[in-house]
Amino acid sequence: MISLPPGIIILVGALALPLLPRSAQAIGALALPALSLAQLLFLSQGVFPGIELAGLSLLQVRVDPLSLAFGYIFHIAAFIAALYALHVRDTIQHVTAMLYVGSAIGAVFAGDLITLFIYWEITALASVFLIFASRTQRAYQAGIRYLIVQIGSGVLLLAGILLHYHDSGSLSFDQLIGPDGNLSDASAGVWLIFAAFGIKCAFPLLHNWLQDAYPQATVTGAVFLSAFTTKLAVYALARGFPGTEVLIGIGVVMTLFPIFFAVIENDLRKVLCYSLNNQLGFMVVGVGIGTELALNGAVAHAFVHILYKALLFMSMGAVLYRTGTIRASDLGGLYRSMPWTSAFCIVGAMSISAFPLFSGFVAKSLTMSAVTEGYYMLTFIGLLIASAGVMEHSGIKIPYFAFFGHDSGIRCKEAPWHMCLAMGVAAVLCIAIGWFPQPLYALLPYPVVYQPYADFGHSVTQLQLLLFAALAFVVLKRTGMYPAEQASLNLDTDWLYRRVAPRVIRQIVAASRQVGRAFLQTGSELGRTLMRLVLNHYGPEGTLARAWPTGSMVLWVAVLLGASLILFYL
Amino acid sequence: MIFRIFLCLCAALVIIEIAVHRHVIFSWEGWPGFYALWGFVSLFAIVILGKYLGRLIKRDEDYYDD
Repeated sequence: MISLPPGIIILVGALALPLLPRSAQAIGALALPALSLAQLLFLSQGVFPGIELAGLSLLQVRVDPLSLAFGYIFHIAAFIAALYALHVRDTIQHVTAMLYVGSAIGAVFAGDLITLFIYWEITALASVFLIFASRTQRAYQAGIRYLIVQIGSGVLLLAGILLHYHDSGSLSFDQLIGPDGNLSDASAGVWLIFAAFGIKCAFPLLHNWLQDAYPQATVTGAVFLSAFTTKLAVYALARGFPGTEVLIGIGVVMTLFPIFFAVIENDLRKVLCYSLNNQLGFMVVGVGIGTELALNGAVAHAFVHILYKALLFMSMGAVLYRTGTIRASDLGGLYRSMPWTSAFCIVGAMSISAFPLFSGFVAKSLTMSAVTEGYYMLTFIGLLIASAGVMEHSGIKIPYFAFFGHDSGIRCKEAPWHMCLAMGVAAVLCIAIGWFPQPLYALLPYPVVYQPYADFGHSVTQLQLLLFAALAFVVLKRTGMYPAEQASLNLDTDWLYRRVAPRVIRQIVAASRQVGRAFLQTGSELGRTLMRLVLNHYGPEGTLARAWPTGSMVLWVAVLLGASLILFYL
Repeated sequence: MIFRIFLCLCAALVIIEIAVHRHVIFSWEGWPGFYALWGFVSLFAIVILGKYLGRLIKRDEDYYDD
């Protein structure tokens, strides 16, 4: 059992789930991450060879501190999400969720690029069923778009791997970027791999699959989705591209642009997706700086982020499950009906906003001190604005519009016990990590000397930033300047491929059809004219085919001879 | 009432800041009340800019459904 590659237990177990009776499948799905985690705890570090195939060692397993940190949190997230999904009686969802989890874990421990690619594609194929499982037309279409993007990322990855292998002769998944961190010096293969990672990491302009697809997933599916795909991409960047300078800029833009979309978004799960995008930006900045402190920051951020983001998705999922809607314009005042869910949501909101003594604070402080240590002033300013943005959309907007604000009049039951339990576990972890960060720091890839609470002034200023941001919210709300929630959707880059591209293509098709028709018409008219001409001359009554009297023939011969005689004498 | 307590908390934080030692990297970061002002202005600006962005990109919910 110990020599099995991590993730295999879950993958094989997922395929065996349909053999269980329907009512036991959810419990089976809960047991799989627990079993797999037990295996992981006994795994020793190192690189283990896989299958020898045509002189290449494939399916290598690498266990090192970086892969272990992601491995642990992926297991914890899978367990919490499976607990949250205990009521689901849908074989497809259980099987695909576990295939998704198992392949994400497998990818994190992949020692070579081909293994990474295989797991990369399984995550895409398995996860789309968590969107399809909503069984609505919108979900189906969003799922197809999601699949196209994810498979596209896989195709780029494979192309990049092959080019990289051609150039370097190596398939091992190590640092792909040169020591100077300059992407422009890298080979085409490395560029393609970078682009593949960038799509999955929701880089600016490549991001919209995330906000398009995740809100269409099932209540429980969204919790799974929020944890794995994008964090797998962060892991891949941390493994292959640490210290790549361009990532700092990309990361700062990623933290900033989603906050404006989040302000005006009405679908609260979509607000969480924009928030997720913003959080990824912090991690990407950490990877881009690439120092030990910064990489620790990125990994710690991914670790705590998975917990509080899952917690927020679970609380919004519980609201959707009980009320049937997740529109901010229809919700409000639910704290009366769902006090536990509200409390858990507030813990998640305070964690993501990085209040001192919550998990976000101890992780984000690592990244922020790496930024100041390197004197990246503009980056620092950008991240400070983004921190206020996080406070706005995740810290205030999510709990306020769902549970407080104006009373929507909705009275419903509290979330089911297993949902409350799953949220409770996540909430306790968020607080525990905030109080006792050392166990988390011990999991990070590099030794940590940082103590988040040693500098009391830092906690005070962070609280100032957050509370005065909240004050601004109160002022905006009281003066009526805060935009009212209304049932609507907002255009993003998906407008380009959902509206513009189909229209352009439709126009091109229509235009080429017209050209074709005109071409055919002209052709047939030309042909008809030609035939008429031929018929006129050679047809049965045509000039050249007519039977002429011999007399006129003789006359014309005489005329011709006469004419030549005259010409001869001239 | 809650609003008053909240205001007192905000004021207290600014006062505490003067008393504690600050570890500052960029000099402007150390100005008294900098973070308070920064948080307030940032959120204010984000919401107002978001509102204008909304005017540009807001559509009906069934915009893509036809």
